[in-house]
Amino acid sequence: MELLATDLVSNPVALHEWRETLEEVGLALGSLSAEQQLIVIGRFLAGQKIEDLAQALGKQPGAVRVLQFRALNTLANHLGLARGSQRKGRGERL
Amino acid sequence: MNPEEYLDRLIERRERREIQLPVVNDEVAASLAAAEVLTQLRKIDVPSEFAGHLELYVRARARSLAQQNGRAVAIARPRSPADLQRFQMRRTWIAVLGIAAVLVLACAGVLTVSARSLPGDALYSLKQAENQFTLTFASDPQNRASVQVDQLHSALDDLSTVVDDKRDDDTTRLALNIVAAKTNDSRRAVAALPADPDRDAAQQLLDNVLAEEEQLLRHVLNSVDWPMQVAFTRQLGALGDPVPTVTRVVMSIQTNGTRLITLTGTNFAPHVELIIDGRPMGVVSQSTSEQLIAVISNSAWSAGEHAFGVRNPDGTAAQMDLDGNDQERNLPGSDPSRTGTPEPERGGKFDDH
Repeated sequence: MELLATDLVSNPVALHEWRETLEEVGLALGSLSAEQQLIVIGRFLAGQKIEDLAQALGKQPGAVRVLQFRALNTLANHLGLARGSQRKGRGERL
Repeated sequence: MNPEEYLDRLIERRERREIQLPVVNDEVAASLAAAEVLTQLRKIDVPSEFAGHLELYVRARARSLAQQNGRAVAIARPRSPADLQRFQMRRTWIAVLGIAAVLVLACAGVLTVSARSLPGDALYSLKQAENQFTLTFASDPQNRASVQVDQLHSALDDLSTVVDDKRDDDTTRLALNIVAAKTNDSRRAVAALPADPDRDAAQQLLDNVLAEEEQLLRHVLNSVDWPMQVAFTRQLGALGDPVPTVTRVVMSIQTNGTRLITLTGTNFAPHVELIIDGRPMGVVSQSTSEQLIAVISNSAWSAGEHAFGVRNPDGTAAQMDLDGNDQERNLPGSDPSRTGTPEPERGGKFDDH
């Protein structure tokens, strides 16, 4: 179910949680290299294909997949999603 | 197939809602979970104003990164069909990236930064938007009044910081205007409450904050320049303080060539100064709480438009802005002189040719 901005506005609790989630993801993204950040953002937030990202960054698709894999692993560790990982952000909700 | 390709295939299958392949190891499972968190974020439709700020940030970052890599981002004009395709692809990619900006932004702690932003900062509108959200959806009138008073208090903190940081006049004026607006909103919100003990409590809370406001305005009066002294004094007047006002200016040229200037108004204090164009001028020969008479030597006077004001020793100040149409010469037979009446919102000046 999609969460709309209007829902956030009308629900202070949801707005607060949304901000916390963003901040946690933001902190985790901050641990990535600039290229990894753009790949993650382009791939999952802007919905771009690996091939498009590769062309925009002047890399081979395989190289972008490697960067994506490493970036997601790093994020998973920071967000406490990996087995045995410790959550590095604040709060427990995602 | 290597893990990187396998993960990408899993992600694509999830996006297309196709049958899932088995997850081969913990590393891939964790990466897939992180991808899912990011995908969920994309489903949040952020406020347009918010997205606008983020988009600017993402665009700047993409440009910066491309420059570091020695490539320009869609700036060069395409020269061949292949160039054109790449050109359009990059433009599309960057544009879409901007829309999704939630992210990076978050990344740079934009939200946290906006909470600390001040009037005049790029992210201040974000803070105001959130304030408005909070107000719009305050649960009841009592809660709304409480939020208004809280926001007034926050606006006072911002104003104090702006003055301490010695920001420019435009920024200071903006911060003051926000305080003035929040003051009015708070008063209205409290006044709208039904007469009961809750309203008394809200009124007490508001009175305390208004007392802080008065204290702050008076405290900073001597830290700001002339235009801001006038503006701060006006807000003090709005709070009910007895502050100086100027309602009439008369200037006449005496036989010895000096100018005799008479300002009429209210709340002139002993030792009040005559201020012309923001600078102390002339010798005050006589003053009461409602009138100031000063003499200016011919050599100190220059032709042209001038703004006349007064400043009390406590820093409170007032200036009379005249509209040219309101100026008139005195009756024939008298000394050549000029008079004017105030036009508070128009900012005209006394014009002496």
